[in-house]
Amino acid sequence: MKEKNKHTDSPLSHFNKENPFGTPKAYFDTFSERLNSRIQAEEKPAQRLPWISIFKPVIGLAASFALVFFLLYVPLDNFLPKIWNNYLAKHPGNTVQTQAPGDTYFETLMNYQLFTSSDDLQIISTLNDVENTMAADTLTSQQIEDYIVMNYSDWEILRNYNQ
Amino acid sequence: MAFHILVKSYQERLYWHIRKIVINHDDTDDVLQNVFLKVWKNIENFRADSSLFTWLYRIATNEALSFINDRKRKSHHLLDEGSEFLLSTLEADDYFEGDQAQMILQKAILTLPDKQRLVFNMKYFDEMKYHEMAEILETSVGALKASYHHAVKKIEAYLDDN
Repeated sequence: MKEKNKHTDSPLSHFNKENPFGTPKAYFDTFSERLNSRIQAEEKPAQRLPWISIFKPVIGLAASFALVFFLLYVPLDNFLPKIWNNYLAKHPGNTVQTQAPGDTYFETLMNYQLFTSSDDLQIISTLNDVENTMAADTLTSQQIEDYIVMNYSDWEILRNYNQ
Repeated sequence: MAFHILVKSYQERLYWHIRKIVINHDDTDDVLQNVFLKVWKNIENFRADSSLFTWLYRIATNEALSFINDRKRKSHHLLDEGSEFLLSTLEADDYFEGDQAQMILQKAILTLPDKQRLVFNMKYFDEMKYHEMAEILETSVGALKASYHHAVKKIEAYLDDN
């Protein structure tokens, strides 16, 4: 199916799509040579490392993972149910529901509290308006997550998480 | 030799893709070299489950976004103040050859979140198909369509105000 360009009546239709950026003269002609120089500079002879130098970073990495796991697990285990219950108390009967079976990740996603009830409906309306094949009743948490990542900056997501 | 041919074949296209993200020529040059270095080191890991073009574009996209995030961190900018940082980069760019209207359009584009800006550039300027973009960005076609739809609305609103 041909994808339509809907810019005919929009201010965007008045702009030419010419590339406004330029490069120094002969940039692309010399790029390959400069890249080769850099590759040669990066290639160093392999040195034999003592075994402690190999195991040290592995042990450090394992300790970091363990630390991160506990830093995430303890607060999530203690606070996540409270945040979800607070959200439900504030937004009774207006939460976007999904019928995707066994989609418990959806609940975790809603804890971002990024949406008010009107935003929930706006997402569905937008996704339906742009003529894609998704229907509201098959909306999955992956699709919502994709939507959040695409349309909200990291700051907006973090700002709303704790509200 | 094969690597040299690969570089010659894709350098321009990857350059312009990165340039639209990081704006500045010198930064783009750095990122582009990093991309090909990564390709050089990992070419044996390339699996033919995606096309070479998709693989290269994906590496370039990730490197460019990492570069911007890294630069924001070093400049002590808040996550959402990247547009100010890129705006000043755009205004100071010695190699910007567009007219005033194109400058306003580029400023409008810079008001978008980074990933949304990426989607807009790929669709509006590069005229890529949604399924190609979905492969590169590893997201759904529906999410891309929604994102582009919102991006256009935001840009139109900015252009109306300016």
